[in-house]
Amino acid sequence: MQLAPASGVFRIDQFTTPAGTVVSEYSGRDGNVFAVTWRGPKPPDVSTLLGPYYKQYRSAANTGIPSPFGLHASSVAAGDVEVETMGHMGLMWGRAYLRSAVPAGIDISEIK
Amino acid sequence: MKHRNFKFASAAIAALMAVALVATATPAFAVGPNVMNANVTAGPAGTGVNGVYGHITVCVPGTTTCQVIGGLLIDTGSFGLRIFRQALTIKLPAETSNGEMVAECAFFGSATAWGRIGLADVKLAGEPKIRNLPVQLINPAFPIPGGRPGACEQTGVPLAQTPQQENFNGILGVGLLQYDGSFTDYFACTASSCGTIPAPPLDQQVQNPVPLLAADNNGVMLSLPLLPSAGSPPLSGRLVFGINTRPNNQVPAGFTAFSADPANLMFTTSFGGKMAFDSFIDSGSNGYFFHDSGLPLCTGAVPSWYCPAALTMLQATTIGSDTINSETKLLFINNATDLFSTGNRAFLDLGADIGEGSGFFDWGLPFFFGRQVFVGIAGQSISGVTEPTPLWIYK
Repeated sequence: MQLAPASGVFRIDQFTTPAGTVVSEYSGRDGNVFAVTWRGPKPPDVSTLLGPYYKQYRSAANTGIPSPFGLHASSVAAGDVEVETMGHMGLMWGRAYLRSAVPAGIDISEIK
Repeated sequence: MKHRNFKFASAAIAALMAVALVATATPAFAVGPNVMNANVTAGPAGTGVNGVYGHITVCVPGTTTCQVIGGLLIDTGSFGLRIFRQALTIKLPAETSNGEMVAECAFFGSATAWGRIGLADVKLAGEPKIRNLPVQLINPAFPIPGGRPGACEQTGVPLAQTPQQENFNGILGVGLLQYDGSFTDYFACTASSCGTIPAPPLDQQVQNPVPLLAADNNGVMLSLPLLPSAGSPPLSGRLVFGINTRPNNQVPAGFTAFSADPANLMFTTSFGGKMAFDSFIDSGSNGYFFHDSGLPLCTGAVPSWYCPAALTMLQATTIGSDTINSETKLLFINNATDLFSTGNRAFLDLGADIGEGSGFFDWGLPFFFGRQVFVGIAGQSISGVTEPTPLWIYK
């Protein structure tokens, strides 16, 4: 499924994982994906979604630094990659984006 | 609808808090075999705030080989007992499927828990022992170092590695559902590798132990004492098993039931003129987590936490997923930098702008201070309560 915001600055392509989680890929006018979000019962395979940036993110995520927000929310920054996740057992949400690739004029709050 | 954002001097707010909360302040706690201490402490790592912990006894099934384990995060946002392998001194037998060890990957907002399923006899407070409970033994090195399936790595959430890192020895998930199989991934493992399998039959899934209690099996009540606005050193409240099953777990008059969506266990919160259709009450979140563009954020070492110049009172309306009941609640947000500088461990006015894009409104642990919150488990009935489970009941 494809959605377009009123601003026309980016495009959203959606697909649903076998577990029933909806994944939204945000791409700019150049066609490059700069952000993904997910919402559903289980998180998707983020390694595929992050592609070449996955390794960088993973090493930052597994440094062993405790989450300051308890069990159900986290935010990890790995250089240019930012990944936030939140939810309880029942519904999970996540957002990953490449800070330098977010097109000018887009507020991060539009990525949800 | 426009929400109102009150900003008064702290003394005035303190008076308002007293008025707002005294009506719901918890009566003297009755003791009983269904009552577990719920301790708000710095946690096993000594670094946390607003973590609420309980302790249980686990035994090798059918034996008197037992261990008391504390530092278990009491979590109304999940279901099932999960214990770090590192925190266990007894060896629990493996749950098996076709001769292979059953393991699972469980997803939390801040961590992914990986490890095999063990079987344990479990004693909650003075309740009769639960026999052969499937328990997840969190262990990143299972079945061997490097033998963890990739599918449990690639979740976008850091792996739960040690009790020190997570600041709990385990998770006592006493939330709205019994079985975890709809929201986790199961695997069957040899001594060196694992492959994915469908969720096992319900009685073999990791599960909320409460429905397995003899009588107090329809839910829990978690209650923590009222605090000053600057917080408190470590303190104790109570986790009480059963709802309307004994004199000490009766729903008081004037309390309201709020249904949760059976599919995703969410209800609705209206705040700031917006509806958060995905909202939940979660003792495993250490603050109120919601988005309010009018509240200033902290700077420096504690980004994302709210740091208003003065103690701030907000209001939000909780609405059952069936839309039958709704009530407006007050919440207080204080300056997190100031709160953390007190060295206190329990705060009823801590909040963060975390997960803003989710649109979630997460009523975290602060909601439980000065309040009794009942958690009614899906599929269970509660005497005197007509609304179907899953639901929350509070005033």
